[in-house]
Amino acid sequence: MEKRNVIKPDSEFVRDVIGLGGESLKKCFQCGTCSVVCSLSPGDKPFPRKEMMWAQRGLKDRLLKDPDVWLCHRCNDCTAYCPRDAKPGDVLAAVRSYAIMSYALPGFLRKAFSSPMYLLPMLALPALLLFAFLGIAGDLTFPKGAIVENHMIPNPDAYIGMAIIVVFVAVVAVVGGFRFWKGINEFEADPPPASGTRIGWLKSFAFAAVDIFKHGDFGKCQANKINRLTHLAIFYGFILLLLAAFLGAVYHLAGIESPYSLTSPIKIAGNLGSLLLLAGCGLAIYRRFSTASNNRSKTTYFDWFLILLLSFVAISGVATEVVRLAKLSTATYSVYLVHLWLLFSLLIYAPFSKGAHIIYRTLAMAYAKQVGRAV
Amino acid sequence: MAKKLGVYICGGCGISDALDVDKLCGVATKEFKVENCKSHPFLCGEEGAKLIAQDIQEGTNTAVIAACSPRAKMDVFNYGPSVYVERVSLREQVAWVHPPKDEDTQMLAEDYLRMGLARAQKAEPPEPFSETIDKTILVVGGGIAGMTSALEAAKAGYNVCLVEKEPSLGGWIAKLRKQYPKHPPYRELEDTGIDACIKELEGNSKIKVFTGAEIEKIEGAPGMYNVSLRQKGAATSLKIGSIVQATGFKPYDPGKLEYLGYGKYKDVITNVQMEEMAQKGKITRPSDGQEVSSVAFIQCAGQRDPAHLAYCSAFCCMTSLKQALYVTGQNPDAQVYIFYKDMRTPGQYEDFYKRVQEEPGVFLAKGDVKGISEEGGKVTVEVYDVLLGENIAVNVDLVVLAAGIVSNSMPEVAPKVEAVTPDGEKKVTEIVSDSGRYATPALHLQYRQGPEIPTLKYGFPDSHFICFPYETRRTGIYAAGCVRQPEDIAASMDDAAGAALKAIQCVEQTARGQAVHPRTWDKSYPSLFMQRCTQCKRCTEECPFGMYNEDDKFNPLPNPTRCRRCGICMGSCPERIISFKDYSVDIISSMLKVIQVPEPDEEKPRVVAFLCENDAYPALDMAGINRITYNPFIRVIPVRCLGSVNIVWIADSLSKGIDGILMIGCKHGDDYQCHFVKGSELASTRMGKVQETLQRLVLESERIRVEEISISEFKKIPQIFDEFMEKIKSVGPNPYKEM
Repeated sequence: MEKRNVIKPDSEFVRDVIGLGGESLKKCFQCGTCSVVCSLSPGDKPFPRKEMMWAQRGLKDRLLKDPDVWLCHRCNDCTAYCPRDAKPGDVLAAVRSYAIMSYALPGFLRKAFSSPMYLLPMLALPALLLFAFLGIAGDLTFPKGAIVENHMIPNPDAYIGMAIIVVFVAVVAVVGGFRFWKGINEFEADPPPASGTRIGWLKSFAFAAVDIFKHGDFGKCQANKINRLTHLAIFYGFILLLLAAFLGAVYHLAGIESPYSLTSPIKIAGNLGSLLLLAGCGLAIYRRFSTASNNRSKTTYFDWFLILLLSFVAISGVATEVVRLAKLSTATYSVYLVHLWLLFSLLIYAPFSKGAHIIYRTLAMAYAKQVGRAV
Repeated sequence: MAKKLGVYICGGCGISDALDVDKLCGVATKEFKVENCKSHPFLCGEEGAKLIAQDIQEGTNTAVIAACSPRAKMDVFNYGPSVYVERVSLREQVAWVHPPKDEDTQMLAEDYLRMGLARAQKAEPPEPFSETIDKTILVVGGGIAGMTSALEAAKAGYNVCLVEKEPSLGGWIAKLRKQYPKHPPYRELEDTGIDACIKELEGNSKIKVFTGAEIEKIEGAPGMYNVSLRQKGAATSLKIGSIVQATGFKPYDPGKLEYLGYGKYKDVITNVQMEEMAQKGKITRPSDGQEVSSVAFIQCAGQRDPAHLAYCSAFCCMTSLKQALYVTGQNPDAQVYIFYKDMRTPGQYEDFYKRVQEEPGVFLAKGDVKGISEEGGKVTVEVYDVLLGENIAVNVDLVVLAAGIVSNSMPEVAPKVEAVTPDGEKKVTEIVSDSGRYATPALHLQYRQGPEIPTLKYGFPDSHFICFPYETRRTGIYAAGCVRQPEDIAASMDDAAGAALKAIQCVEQTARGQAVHPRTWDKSYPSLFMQRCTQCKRCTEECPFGMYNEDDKFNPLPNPTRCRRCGICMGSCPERIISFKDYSVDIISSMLKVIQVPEPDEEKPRVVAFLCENDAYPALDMAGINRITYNPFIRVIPVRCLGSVNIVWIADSLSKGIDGILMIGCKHGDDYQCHFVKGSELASTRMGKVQETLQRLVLESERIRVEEISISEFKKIPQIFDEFMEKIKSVGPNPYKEM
């Protein structure tokens, strides 16, 4: 006899998805309009219709292992056309939030994201880490003399502390990514991948990378064209800032110490990146408050957390530079301290927050390329 | 009464441009020796109307008005019940559709005038059938439909007798815990309100309630039924005008649903049992009495399934949604699955569907049930999920089958009839639907055609479903509620009000001596020249409405108030003894006789077309209004129904040299459109036989054709005409022309 596919709805999961912004999911009456209007959905087993049904039935396991959830760019074409106002865009976003929290370890940290009531302790943790780090590296006083941010950390060996955090974050991210990759492969193994022949993983990642750099999928969305612009600004701002950090390390190793002139490549990359990031964050925040009819999605705490943290990191970074150029010593170090604290927060919580989509979406897109599900 | 004829020809609306009106007048005065023939350029105007009115004042009692279609300006050319008016359609059927001042156009107009005159000479204004009648309305069945009918009729001022076989009123609605919402915002369950309804009914002085009573027999006809009742052993007799049958439904026998686990597993129940349990209190598992924490509803249990009930029972989707709320109301953590083929929540009920969807514990899925089994104290339901294309299964405490309903008219086993064949052999045959004998006894009518209203194959009454749904095939008896079609409480109440109104119309029309739907103006009724009757029983068998009873010697006994005036009996009678004052075999034969048939070498064939007055004839008018031209060799005769066409007319036409006969009526068969249910079907059977006869006589059977159209297909009529004329041309002239 065929193995029975017994459905056990996880009511807890349904409630969690509703709590994460998917409160409209019960309204769906399974017409399939969402899958029809979606320009990113493949013809075979299209999303988000099946995801809506799984979510309604509380089929947590399926959704966590479903790569399609991550192919959605939340442009809200589906929400704009849904005859029941079931907002599939919001439901998929809620499922993604749930997935991020489920894949990230340790568990207590993901719990911290479930409600704003944990915000204070969450922000305190990186601050404590920062103080400990500075305490070990120095004497917790602001340096004298020329204003150079790096002088806050007099002993370069202290970078080992920084490296520990980076390694922790990387481990969490890799473990989450690995669990996700295993999940989607398990899920799609039965039944086997449909149309298209599998392409090599290297090739598929390359294709995905090209897509990501071009933001091609965003371009296919109809209802919210501005999303592409917003995300492009944040994405390239982020890349430029990473480049600046990388150059910083190279300069340091080459013995060229800061401060650098505003026309040096590192400064150009950093400032341009900051401006792009600020612009992108500004657009994102503006869009969340605008009342345009095609933008009826709900912004959750999970969502706000990343966008605001990112904004504050950018603002504090720029502020540090401004006060430094104004030659205000104490102010520079104070603002820099705040900037470091926010940066720490962003870094530590990256695998637990919406930021983790960098891993999961990339994996899902590569997977989709591999099995021929990408449109 | 001596006929005094006046002929009035209108020249307006383009008639005088197309025709030679003086020549037309000559037909009346020279051929028919009518002394009074007048023409006027604007006959329906004040001056023209005065012209006719003055003649009538001076003794003219028959007016032939050659102007527009008989369907136009009926109010203008109406001179009261004692004046017979014959209308000749020169406008829609001649001037507007044929070339002006053409020889063939003129010939057509002249023929139409001759036919009108022939008819006017023989037809008399009908005198209504009058009899003292009773206007009391009998309602059979005390459920929500019956009670609503009774209340509505009483509120309209009529006396009502309500008969219910159970000891108390209420029917199924009294067995419900709650009903699904009937009022905005259509979100929460409502009380049925049945107690207030019963109280109102019992307090109404116009309504006499007979509970625990059964009908023994109903004799008579609309306006004069004699109803014999038996209530608690005592016999009562009632005088009744018309009847509403609201005898309701029975649930589909769940014993036949073993494939869904019914009878096999204790925890598989029907929606009726679920409701009973809910009304008593807690919803529990029948196997161990434990309160349920998970329930699966299976929609369309044995419904929309040719092996069980082929139709949708209309309320089960809503009922399951309602019962799902009973479950979540009892236990908010309970899980309820509803597996459906299609969720059917029409109209405002969509809002209730949305409301139930919101319940976190309710899961809806479109799927086909693949199997039901029991395991570890739970019932496992396996379903093929249509939308996801995969098999799923759930383990639940209780399975509820949303089983459907069967009309209470549907006999449990098909009744049989024993007959002796001419060889003296006894033969038992099963009675099929489409007969007054294929039904569960309820009314016990003393009709020759059987004791109940004729039903269709699922036991629902035969009626013209689209145009007059409450009409059954027994005049004066109207079906309402679930006996008529599956429907819910709100629809039953609407139905009941509609049927009550039809019952009221029936007694009022009968009091005036007029027909009920569809010939509501018609005061004529058939009279039989009994000396020539051969007791062939064609009329008593073929009347779709059971108008005729029979005496011991098989003589037909007409009941004029049961008659719909279709003339099907007239068409059926081989002795041609059935006539209406203004419509008879002789009248139409006379019209046929006056058609002028040119010699074969003139190459002007002639075709007679009998058009049904209900759809085809109005469609022809519409073709005229749209100025769609067609062949001028066709002579149209309107008939009340194709079923009223007597085959002697075919013989008359052919022997006269008419080249072809066309009949256009309504669609027959399963989805018939015939306004008299059986007329067009009978016509095509009869014509099939005529065609056989023609072939025996070495006449081409193509000379006769029966066509079916609906009123909206008016553009098809000219096409049919032209095609048929092509055929007749290829067949060649009627050989009888030369004799």
